[in-house]
Amino acid sequence: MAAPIVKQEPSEDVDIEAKIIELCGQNPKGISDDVIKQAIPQSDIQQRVIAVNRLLSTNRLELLKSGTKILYRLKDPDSANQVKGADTEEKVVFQIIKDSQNKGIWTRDIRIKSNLKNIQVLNKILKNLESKKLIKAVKSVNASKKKVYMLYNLEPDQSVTGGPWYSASEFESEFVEILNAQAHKFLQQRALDANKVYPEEPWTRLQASYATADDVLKYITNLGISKVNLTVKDMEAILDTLIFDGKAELSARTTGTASQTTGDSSVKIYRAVRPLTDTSGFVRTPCGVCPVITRCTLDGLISPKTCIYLKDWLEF
Amino acid sequence: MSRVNTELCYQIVKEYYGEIVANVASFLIRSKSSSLGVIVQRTCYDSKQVKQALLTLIKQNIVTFSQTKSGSIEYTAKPEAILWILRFPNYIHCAKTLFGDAAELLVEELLLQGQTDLGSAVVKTTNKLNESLRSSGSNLPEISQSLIRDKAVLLVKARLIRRCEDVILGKSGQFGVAVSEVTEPEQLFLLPTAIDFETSPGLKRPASDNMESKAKRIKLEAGEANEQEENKVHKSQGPGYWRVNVYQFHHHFRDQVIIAAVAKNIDQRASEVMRTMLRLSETRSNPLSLESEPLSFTEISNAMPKDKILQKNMLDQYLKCLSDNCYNFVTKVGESGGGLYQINIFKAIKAICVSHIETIVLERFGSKALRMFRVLLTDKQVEQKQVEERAMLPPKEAKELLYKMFAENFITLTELSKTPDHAPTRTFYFFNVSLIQVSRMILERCYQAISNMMVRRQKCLSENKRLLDKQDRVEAIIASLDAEGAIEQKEEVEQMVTPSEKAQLKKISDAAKTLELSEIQLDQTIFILETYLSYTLHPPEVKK
Repeated sequence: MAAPIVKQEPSEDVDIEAKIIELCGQNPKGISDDVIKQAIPQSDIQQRVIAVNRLLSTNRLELLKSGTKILYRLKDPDSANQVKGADTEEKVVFQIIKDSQNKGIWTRDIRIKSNLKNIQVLNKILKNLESKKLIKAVKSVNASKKKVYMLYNLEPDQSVTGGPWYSASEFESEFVEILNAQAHKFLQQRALDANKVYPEEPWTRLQASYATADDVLKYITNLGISKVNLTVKDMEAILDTLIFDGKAELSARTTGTASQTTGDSSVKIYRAVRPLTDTSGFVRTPCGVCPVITRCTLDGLISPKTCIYLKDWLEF
Repeated sequence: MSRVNTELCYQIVKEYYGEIVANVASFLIRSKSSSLGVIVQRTCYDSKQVKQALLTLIKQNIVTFSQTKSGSIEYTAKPEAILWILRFPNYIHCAKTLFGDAAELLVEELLLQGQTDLGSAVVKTTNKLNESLRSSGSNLPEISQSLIRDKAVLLVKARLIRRCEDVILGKSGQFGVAVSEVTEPEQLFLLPTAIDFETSPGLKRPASDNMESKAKRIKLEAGEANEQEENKVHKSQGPGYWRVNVYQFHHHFRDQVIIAAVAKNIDQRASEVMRTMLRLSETRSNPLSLESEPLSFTEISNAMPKDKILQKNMLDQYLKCLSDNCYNFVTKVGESGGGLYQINIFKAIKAICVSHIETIVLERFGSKALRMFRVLLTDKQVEQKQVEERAMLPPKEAKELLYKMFAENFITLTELSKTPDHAPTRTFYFFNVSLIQVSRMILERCYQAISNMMVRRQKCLSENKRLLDKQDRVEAIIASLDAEGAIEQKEEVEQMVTPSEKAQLKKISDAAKTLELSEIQLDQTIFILETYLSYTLHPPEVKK
């Protein structure tokens, strides 16, 4: 009699294990013992304990505490393999970092969550994990001194990197300026072409000189200036800077059909413009750009009679 | 009146009318209004000098007078009238472009005299024109006075010149005590009659020119009342006095500025459309209102100048451009008459003024600062971080420029505290631009800059006085030798000015020219800023 029982047991255990994993797969938040019990009514408590323990020791399940109940949850097989050979503290820290996803997490928050009071220990753990290339430190744009940790294979979120305008948490002002200049060039060319095609029809010419952000983006992409993939939204930000430079003008055009993504029936269009007036006469004199004009008086130390700026200006 | 402004007024009056007049004027500006006695006491000139200075100022429309309740005469200065002196070249040029050479000379004469009767102005103008004809050696017939008179009538019709206000007489009827308030502005533009062109003093009333200056003198000596003149007769029967109506010139300049802006924004033909619209509205709408009267499409189409006539659909397109674009210079207000259009004069002036301020920011702080400045203009209340993000500038650079602009009062800061203790950590700091404040500040700076230019120019000339005098003398000698036909001596005299001196002279004249040019350019900025401020600060006034 004993032989068949012995033969049967392992297969039953495997069944129970498989069942538990299946259940956990259905409930990613975790399952309690009661759930297992209902799902596998024929198993007794002993069998379940053995099955769960084996799963825990092979790192396929993890134990969670929810109130007074104990929950079992499926453990990511990858991560299970990755932290292999690490101690529990490392595993905990790794888990916390993993939960933060591509937003990253700050050392202080790790300390609070992991309950590791000793900073040195935590630093050592982080260093360890970093050297194993499991996690990486990324500098946040919001606070240059703040380092956030995230899994090694993740692409940092825009809120951390600051979008395409940042590289290594430094603002790429040159990149922005180049895009700004190219966008301006594109719009100017549009206006010129429109001038040639419709010299006699001012309104048509005006309409033809407008371009959408999409058009500008296509032009920029074809130029191949940008190594990063820019979105239409990024392009709009660049075009906004052109507007603030006073080099472009914004208008809207109805597309007729509402676009599916935004639900807007109008599209932003841009056009190159020239400033409304010439340079003011004020700044054509040295006084207009004089840094000390507030202290300039007739008989003071700074005076038009002795002013060196005026002297240089008049002698050319 | 700011210190800078008073200083500038002093410089201008000093340059044109001398030091005594300048001191009297600047005293009057500072004291608002005072009586003759007080002026004499404070300026330390004797009463005769002060009276003469006041006479000059009254004649130049800079000072007016009125009687206080106690019966004494008080003199009040109009500092803006002093600043208008800077615009004289513009007025003259404007008259020339609008109505030709004769009008130019007429306006010049009126500006020079301040107030004068039309008769003598016409005579002088005719003489000047004929003289230049003779000297140029052309065989054209002499220009008759009646031609110039017609020009004068034309100028009055265009409201570029007007009558002076009457002088109210005191109780005794012997001397003027105040300049009358104009109740009916149209009266100032009554067309000149034959009497107005009267010049020969003997006909209607004796010594009319002389008489006026006496009449003024009497006003000054109000307390003494020792002269017997019949002012009433003078005013009602003699030729009236005329002056330039600067306000009309200012409206014209304003229109020119708008037209130029349209030409820059759209094209030359659009500016022609705008010009036609402004010309049409000029006679119809109150020049100080924020918008013009509506103009219909047909009207505009018919009023376009013959050589620049546009196809109907083209004009329609231009009007569409003007109203849908171009900072809304024009609004479509109705459909009747092929479409009713209105010019938004205030919007146009504001856009132009903002553009001017932007060029100043650009030159002073660079294009990155301009970008932030425009972010503030568009988004009104912005936090520092938002400014950086919107302008897409590196935070460090943005911060530096932003605070530089803040330190120089181009932008302002609003604090909004979440808690009553105004702790910096719990407070929002919003940057913003107050256009009126910035305009005023730049206006002040412009006044100072003009004053600086004038001081520098005078210094430049006085430092090289000896050299300039020498040049004058040499030129005089050469001229006299030329008349005698002595060529050998002429060369000798010419060599009296050494090459190095010649180089120096050229330098001086170049410098003086540059400075004068900047004075005129500065005045254009001042004009735009003043126009914008006058539109924002005062509700439209009664037509003058």
